[in-house]
Amino acid sequence: MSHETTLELLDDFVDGALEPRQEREVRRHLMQCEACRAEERALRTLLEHAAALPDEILPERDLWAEIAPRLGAQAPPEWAEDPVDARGPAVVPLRRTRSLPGWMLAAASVALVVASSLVTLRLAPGRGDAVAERDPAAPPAAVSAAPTALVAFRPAEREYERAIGELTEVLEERRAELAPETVRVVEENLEVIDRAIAESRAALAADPASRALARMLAGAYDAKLGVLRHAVRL
Amino acid sequence: MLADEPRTGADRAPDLTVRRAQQGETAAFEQLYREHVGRIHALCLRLSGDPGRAEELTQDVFVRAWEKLGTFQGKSAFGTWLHRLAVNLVLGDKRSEAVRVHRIFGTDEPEKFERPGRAPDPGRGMDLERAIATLPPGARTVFVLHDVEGYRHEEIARMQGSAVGTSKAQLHRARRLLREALER
Repeated sequence: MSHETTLELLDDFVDGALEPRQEREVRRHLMQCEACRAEERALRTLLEHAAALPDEILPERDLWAEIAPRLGAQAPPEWAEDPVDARGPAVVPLRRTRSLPGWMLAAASVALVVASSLVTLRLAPGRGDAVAERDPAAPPAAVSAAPTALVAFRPAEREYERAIGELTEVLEERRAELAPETVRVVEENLEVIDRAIAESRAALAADPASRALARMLAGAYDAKLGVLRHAVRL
Repeated sequence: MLADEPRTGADRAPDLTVRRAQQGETAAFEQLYREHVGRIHALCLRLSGDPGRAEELTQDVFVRAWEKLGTFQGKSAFGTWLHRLAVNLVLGDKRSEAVRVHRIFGTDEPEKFERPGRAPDPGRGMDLERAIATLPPGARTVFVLHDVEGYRHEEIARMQGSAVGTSKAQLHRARRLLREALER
């Protein structure tokens, strides 16, 4: 194979996209040509750097303040045919690198926010909707006919627990395939989140009318689902 | 080429945040925004090469996602669905720009008039992110989708309405320009 042909095929060669016969010929030429080997090294170095780029780059400012007003008051439509996936594959390829991503830190940080918010509510009993919901004119033992936040949350909590159970089973089956460090980090994060769930649940049981506490508990469950979902895909 | 596997039974465990968002709960959608904005903004930034435009595109992606949320059926992970929506939106934005170029220059090959976003500073090393931003738009799109995001040429060509050969040629050009920029 000539020098020029090898250089033309080098992109497909490093991408693993050549037919076996062509790949063998390129390899044979590379063994004999230092200049082409240097080109191959430079190309592979570039691709390694590309693969090592961060998965996430946060915008310099929080864009939610500009997004929220554009969402409108109307709820999104119900299930319909999916025009987004009308063309092309329904999957997005994984990035080439699989370093521990920031989602683990993000999930644990959600749990820490939940935990710290619980402390804030406990230390400042005059704040939050737990107090706002109490009618100062009503007798202390007044019973509301409306379902409390705790009661309303129970069906959702059963769904959460079922989903977490399924994902936990899959994670256990795949535990042997994960690096020990990964397992340790996942377990540490789940521990933090489980503490947040337990504290949120206890706080909601003590103040069953608090929608803020119910939202907090939902947030902690979402964080746990997120960690498990990502972990089973590693 | 690596590719996400279709969702397993475990992946199909209900994503309650998505369900709450689909029922109109903006607080739930905000959670989804915060979970995915880094990934989506990175994609928009690298494809556009411009931080200001990237912020606009990121906002447009999430607004479009809210509008289309009812069409998400859970066959793939929500992040996968959102990423694909973002790619389609940004490529659509580029096609609109190409139509404008055609009207101005009277050609179907706007890449002939492409110039790098900004001239590289001679004599100074340039990190890869900055170098990607200097690529001509067509070359930048293919490099980001292929070498950064992992799409195959067939997928890129289909999304762009072009040929596989065009995608490969743009990638070759991008890699050559990047190596030149990084070796300075």
